[in-house]
Amino acid sequence: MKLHLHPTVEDHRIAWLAAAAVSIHILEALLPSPLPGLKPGFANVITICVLCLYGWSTAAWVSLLRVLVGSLLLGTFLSPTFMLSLAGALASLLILWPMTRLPGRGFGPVGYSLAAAMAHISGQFLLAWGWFVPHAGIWRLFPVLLSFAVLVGLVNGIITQKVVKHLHD
Amino acid sequence: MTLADKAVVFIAVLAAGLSFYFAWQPSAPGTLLEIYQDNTLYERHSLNEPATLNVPGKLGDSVIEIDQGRARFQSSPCTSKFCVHAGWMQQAGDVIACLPNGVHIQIHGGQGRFDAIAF
Amino acid sequence: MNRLKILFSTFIFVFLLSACQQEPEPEEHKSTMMVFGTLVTITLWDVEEDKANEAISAVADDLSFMHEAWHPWRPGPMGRMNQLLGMAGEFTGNISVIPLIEKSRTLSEQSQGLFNPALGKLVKLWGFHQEDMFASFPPPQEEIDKLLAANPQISDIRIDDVRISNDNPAVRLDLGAIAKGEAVERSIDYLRSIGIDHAMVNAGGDLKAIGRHGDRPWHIGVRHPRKQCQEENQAECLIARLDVRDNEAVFTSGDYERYFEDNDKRYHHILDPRTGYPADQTTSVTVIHHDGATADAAATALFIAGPEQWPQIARNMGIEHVMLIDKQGRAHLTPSMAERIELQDDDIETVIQELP
Repeated sequence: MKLHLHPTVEDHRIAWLAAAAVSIHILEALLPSPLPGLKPGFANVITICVLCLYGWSTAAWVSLLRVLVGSLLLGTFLSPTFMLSLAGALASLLILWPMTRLPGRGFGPVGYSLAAAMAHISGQFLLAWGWFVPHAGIWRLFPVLLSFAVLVGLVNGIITQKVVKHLHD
Repeated sequence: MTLADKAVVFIAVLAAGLSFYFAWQPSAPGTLLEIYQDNTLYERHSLNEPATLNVPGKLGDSVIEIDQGRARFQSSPCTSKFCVHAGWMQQAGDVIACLPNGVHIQIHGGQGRFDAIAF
Repeated sequence: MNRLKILFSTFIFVFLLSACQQEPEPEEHKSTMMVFGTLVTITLWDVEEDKANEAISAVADDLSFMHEAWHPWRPGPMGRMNQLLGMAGEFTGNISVIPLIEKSRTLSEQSQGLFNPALGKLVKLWGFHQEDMFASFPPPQEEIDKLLAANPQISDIRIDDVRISNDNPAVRLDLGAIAKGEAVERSIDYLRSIGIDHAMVNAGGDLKAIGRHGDRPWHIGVRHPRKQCQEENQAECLIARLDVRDNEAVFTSGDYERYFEDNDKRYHHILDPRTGYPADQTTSVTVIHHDGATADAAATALFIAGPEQWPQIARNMGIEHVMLIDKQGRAHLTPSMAERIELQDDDIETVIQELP
């Protein structure tokens, strides 16, 4: 049986962008981390770029494909790591959706990136707390990770801003 | 940066600061490790007694190491090794879990167990 | 939606592999079993798994053998001897009990008769010879008086090699206040003889240790004589904590161990040979000594001696480390015990007592 695919331009675009995001995701996974969840999240630069350039639904595809394919390649599919990753991505997308609907000048890459980073870590924590470790002790870790998320979100937002500007020019 | 961006930055920094205040109430270093298997207590072990314990789980044995008042998953049959990467814990209230294997460990404060009780 | 189809087909081909890792040998082997009429916990440190299991089961076998051999009323060597002690004439004693009788005689003399293993009949009169079932009221006074008047002493037994004769028909041997100590001592001897250097044998709260627990000494807690508590919050019911050094036995006698109640009065198992009644000035005594049997007999003798007389008896028996809790809850300590022990409650009134 032969499978016939008729990919659209949109499909191609998603595939390329997701591939780029997955590459960054995997490279990051190789970095040593002092704490689980402490990652720079550079893959999100791609997500926010896509959000700014092509809109929310394309960004959602790229983001979720990144989580899925990344986990398959790293061998963490359906593991807690994957679940946490997915929870973070879903939480980010959830907060980004209303933000893109704001009238006027609205948010720029920095606002998106920062909000996404904070939503990401909060989503992961809620999942970890509700499912993996139903114990209040885990919240002692939260401030550290949240502060880190703010820092990373800010840095990634500024990078994204430069990339988007560069692509526009 | 737009005005909305600046608002997000402000809220983010404020939230991060407040989270420290709310989440970091002081807690004493723990002395007792509780090991749970499928949410039922499997064993208690003093953190002052160095030990390497095999804890059977759904997938296989998790190896819990206790040393110098700290505890960690030394190895685990789960694929993610999330619990192993979590490293050492030593504060009362700290928890590390290996969900696929159904094993979690938790540090309790107060007096640790003894090698024996004389009576 | 082609994209969704591809996504879905990807899921189907995914399998998870789990990595296996080698398990390191645990350094501690701890085993608890019901032997010697109590719960015995053997802890071994730094022993190979197979050797540890072998050693633990050998000790368990030895302990149950000793328990039968030394039981005063069961049909073993000691039970047989008690039968023969009741008859006139000389007989041949079983060699598995003679060394222990000799040791008991020495300790009884040192304790000035407060540790009196010849009062088997008194123990039986009170019903404390049974492991799980006690009497529900004290025995009649005249029976106690009659027995005490006969004054059974272990010195009434004359041992000439294996030939034994007895001058006092009231003598029956109950080595309950020394047997556990001797059993723990022999268990440790055995473990050492097979090359185990770090171990603790804990027979129902009386223990002896050799070596260390890894990079630290053995830690133990001493139970508070008046606080009741559950297994899970042991810390709350402790009166003190203590590090046990190499070749040290820690033995405790308490009025909370074996007792029955009648008319709201508690009658416990540590009987004063002078009155025939439970000794009532003390609630618990803890002693440290290198020899388990000596520590065991001394804990009993000092308990009976009470808060006034104990220093002199401790001196006679060669016991330097003593903690005695009197019925007012005061802790009487020898200076060397005070150095070693860490009381858990600052409110406890302590009396440091030099030995004469």
